[in-house]
Amino acid sequence: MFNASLTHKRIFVVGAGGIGCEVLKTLAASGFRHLTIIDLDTIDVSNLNRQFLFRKEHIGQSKAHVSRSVLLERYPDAHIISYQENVKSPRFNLQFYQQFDCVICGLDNVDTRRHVNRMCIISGVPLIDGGTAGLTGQSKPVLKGKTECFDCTVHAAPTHYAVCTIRASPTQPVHCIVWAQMLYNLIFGPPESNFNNALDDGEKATPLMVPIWKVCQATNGVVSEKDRVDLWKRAIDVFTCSFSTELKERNEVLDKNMVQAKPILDLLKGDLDVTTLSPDTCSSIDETFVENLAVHTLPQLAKTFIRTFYDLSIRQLTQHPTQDTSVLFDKDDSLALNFIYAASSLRSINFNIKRETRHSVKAIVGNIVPAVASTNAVVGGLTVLELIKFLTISSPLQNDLCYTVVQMRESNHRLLSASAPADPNPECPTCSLTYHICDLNPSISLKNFVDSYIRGTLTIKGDFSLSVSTPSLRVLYDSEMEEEFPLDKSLSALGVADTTLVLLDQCCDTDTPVSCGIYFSLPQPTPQKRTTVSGGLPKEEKTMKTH
Amino acid sequence: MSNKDLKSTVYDRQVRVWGANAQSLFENSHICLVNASASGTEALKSLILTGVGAFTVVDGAVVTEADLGKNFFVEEADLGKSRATSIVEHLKVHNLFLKPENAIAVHEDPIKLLKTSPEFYSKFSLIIVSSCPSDILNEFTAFCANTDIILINVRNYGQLGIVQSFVKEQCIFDSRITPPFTDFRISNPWKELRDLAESLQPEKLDASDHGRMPWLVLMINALDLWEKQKGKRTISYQERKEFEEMTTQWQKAEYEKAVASHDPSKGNLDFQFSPPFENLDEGMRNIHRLAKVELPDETTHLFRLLEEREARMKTVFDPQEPELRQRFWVLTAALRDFVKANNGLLPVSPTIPDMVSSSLFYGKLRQTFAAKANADAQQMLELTSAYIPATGTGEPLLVMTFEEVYNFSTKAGMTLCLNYAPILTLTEKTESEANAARHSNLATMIGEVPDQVMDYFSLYEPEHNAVWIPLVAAADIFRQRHNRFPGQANSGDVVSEAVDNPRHAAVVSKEDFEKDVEDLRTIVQELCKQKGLSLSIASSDLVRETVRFAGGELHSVSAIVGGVVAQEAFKLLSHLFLPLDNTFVYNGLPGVVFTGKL
Ligand SMILES: [Zn+2]
Repeated sequence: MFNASLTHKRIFVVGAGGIGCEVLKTLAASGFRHLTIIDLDTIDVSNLNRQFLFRKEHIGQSKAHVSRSVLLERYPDAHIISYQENVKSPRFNLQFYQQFDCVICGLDNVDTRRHVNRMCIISGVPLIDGGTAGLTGQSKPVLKGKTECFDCTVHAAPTHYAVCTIRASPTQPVHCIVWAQMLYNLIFGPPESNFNNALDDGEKATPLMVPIWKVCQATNGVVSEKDRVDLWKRAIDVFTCSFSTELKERNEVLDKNMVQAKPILDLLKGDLDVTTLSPDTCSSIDETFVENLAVHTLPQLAKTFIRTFYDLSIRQLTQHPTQDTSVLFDKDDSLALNFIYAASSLRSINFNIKRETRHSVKAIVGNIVPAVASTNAVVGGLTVLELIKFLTISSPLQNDLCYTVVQMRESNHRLLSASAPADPNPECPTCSLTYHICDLNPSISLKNFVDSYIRGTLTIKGDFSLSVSTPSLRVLYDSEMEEEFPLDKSLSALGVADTTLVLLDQCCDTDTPVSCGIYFSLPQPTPQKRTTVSGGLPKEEKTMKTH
Repeated sequence: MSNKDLKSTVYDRQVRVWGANAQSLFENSHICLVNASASGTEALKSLILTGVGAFTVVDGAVVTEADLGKNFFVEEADLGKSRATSIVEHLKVHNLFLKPENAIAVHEDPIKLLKTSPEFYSKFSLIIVSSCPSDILNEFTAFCANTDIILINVRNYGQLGIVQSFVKEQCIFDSRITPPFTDFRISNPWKELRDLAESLQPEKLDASDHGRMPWLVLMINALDLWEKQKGKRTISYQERKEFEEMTTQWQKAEYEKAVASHDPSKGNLDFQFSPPFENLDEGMRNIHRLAKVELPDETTHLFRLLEEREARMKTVFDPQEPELRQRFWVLTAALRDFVKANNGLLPVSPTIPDMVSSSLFYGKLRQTFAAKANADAQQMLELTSAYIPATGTGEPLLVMTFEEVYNFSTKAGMTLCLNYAPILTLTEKTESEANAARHSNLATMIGEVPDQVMDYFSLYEPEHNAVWIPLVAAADIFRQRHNRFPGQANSGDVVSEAVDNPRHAAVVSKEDFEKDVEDLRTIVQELCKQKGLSLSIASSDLVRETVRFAGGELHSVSAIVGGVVAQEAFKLLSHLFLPLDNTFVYNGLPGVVFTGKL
């Protein structure tokens, strides 16, 4: 039924993680022999419970390269190319996508999934997107103009909490964890983490709640003995202030609708005098399985907070000479996680909120998606089966049963449910657009681009604005306020390059959706034929419409 | 990193799904795979990755070209070698913590072994019979019937995937159904909750408090007012509007009174909150929660099973049973006594949803629920002791911790027990009365089959997909007569020839194909007559479709059903989630799924 015809199909597998490993194995075992794999990540211990192409000896190596070599051992006749790169890199441009019969995407982050989705819409290459969380998962085909794309539905943005809840009246464990994370970023994070940080009082800032780099500096990567003594004192002061003094002040000015906070120092009385602690006597909790799930005592938490504050201060000062070189909190940073665990637990005690284990704190701060081998196996299998049906059955879309969105449910009556994919959303910011592929060299001036390409080639009439969507949305040009834009500057000076997507909005009303996209795709330079564009008149133009 | 730390890191992502308890249950399980087909190997792979502590593969076959074509976990070098050994060697590396003696290959015919030394199979927690004809499956079904061994059958037949499970009695501590069972006790608050609500009645509130009142408290008070006015605590669908109107007026009037009598020396009024209040909206969205919550059917059924058990065994506690089951029934007996002592109410769960509220009120409400959940669990703990016998020296045979009882009692609406019927193949040698009822149930599900295959599936009733059970049974009968599956060219390898792969053995010629279709049609007809199924099955194109599958496995379908089997194994071994009961049939081409009790 399905066979030799699959050997020559070229498949691009984005992500060699849980779903990627399953998809690659199932593709190869089903007869596919032309595979391209991309994954930026390296293999981590926590992958080994499901990513079966990898073993302990591969830890630290590239997922893409290792999966390639493991597959080649089993299928020596396969042609496999692997990239340890970010799929958003400009080298994975339109021409790159167009060489494939299908793209399979098994990623866990929304941003990259959206990028791959957009590239598939622009290039017209079919995409099958797979995803899992715990015991549930889904596999969904995206065919430009025929089915819903990834952007047709809005994907939940991370939850934001009201500043006053975080600062003054937490009621849930997560509020305390967010607070602890903010405290970490304020003191140990890079400068950008201080913007919109609810704990940053700016001008009024207590001298304690400031980035550690404003307190002291390492000289040649060494923190002096005197500074170390000060940092230890500072750790105790931050502890005292955050969990006791500041809250006592708060309790005094409290409106009666707010819960009285319990100062930690009052609770600690008799059990521990923090001022007597020294770096030699004060140890942190360990990261072991038992510790991960344990409920720690108040003195243990207090010591852990002070110890990790001190260790982090020294580590940040020695490893990151200036605040600019620091990085945001990372869930795999064990020391930072201990700090956040201790800080959030102490705050939970302040407000009489249920405490989370270190294990759960990690899940909450790290946005960790639970993952199980069996679910990936099912989704990987469904994805490849959908692909085989798509590639082997002629005019498949006439029979809408062939395309299924499959979801697995952990405790539902039916283990798998299949349905015909939804129609594209006409309001979709991605697939409802018409895309023009522009091969102009971006060295042309903005004026030239507007006059000869937009008004000339695309024959756009009336008012319009242009914007660039990467890295963040910004306006490039607006015909109603032409004088405000640097018309003589080249497009490249304005941030347009090969693979840039320029959005053209033909309506002056900014609330209405963009009407088309212009994708810059430069001809690949070849020795014989060099592209030189002068004067900005397009030499060749391909237009692709969504319908 | 110590071994223990390494282990916790490796299994971190999945422990987040089922918890450390379930993980240790897996690590103490011994799983047996009968016949290392592609689907069975895929299932075993997921189980080994997940950390199952021991596994045995029983397979008398050697690795063939056909295996290379559809099974990822064999390679060229394995050709001609024991399939059991090859699979074990390739899979064992996927559990870093596996003791070498716990990865066992048995190069023997599984059925011969079952007949000569059945005790060999008694040590397993779970037996997976994979892509075996139903005569082999029937033997294992009979073997497992009176044991505590879980049996899962997985079959990949062309584009079909079939999974069937059996376990004598499945005790489920937390079904994790979504949405979870909840009773906020609005219609019948316990004393402390009632006291809290009374202290927060609208007439007792300051102006700024009205908008900060959790809807749950507001609704308890509104329901009291309703009862005063109507003499009843129920609100019919038609009365909802009236109830909302009453509450709105009440809240508004009390708010205005409070504004008028506001004492300016206590500070300015906070006009952030003025009517209409959001809490009333939230309350009206939850209006269905104002009704008295009945005991879930699953719980009633559970208590009935408990009674039957007591009548049968004259006791709740059975020292012969596995400890997990002992605990389950002792806790269930305590739960029954709790419900009796508490007017038909289940213990309280401490979880309340997020709602518009001041942190003070929300905190008080949460503490009221938490305290009650603790008190109820404490009562449950005391009730368990009546069911735990003591040893000669007076020590209890089972020690219950508060934590364990708390976990059970706060999930009380989501505990249940399933009793499975033996796996139905339609090729059973002896017919029981119970099976006759099952056949007629199957006949109803399948109904009449139209001639055209696509007509049948475009109707899209998932029950129809059960039609593959008699069709695959007929193919098995065909195989017994011809020593090959319909559509398969040569006899020989029982379950390994695949149509999907360039390396598979040849399929039959066109004339032979038509002959196989007719032969199979006759068998289907006999079978349908015998079991009371519609004869239209035999005349339909589905027979031809079955011959096209030629008994082979497709890797992608094997991967899917293999994953499904592993998921079911996790549910059954962990005693969490709602497992399949008892049959799953997946047809990969149209993507149609049947899940039901056969
Ligand atoms: Zn779209």
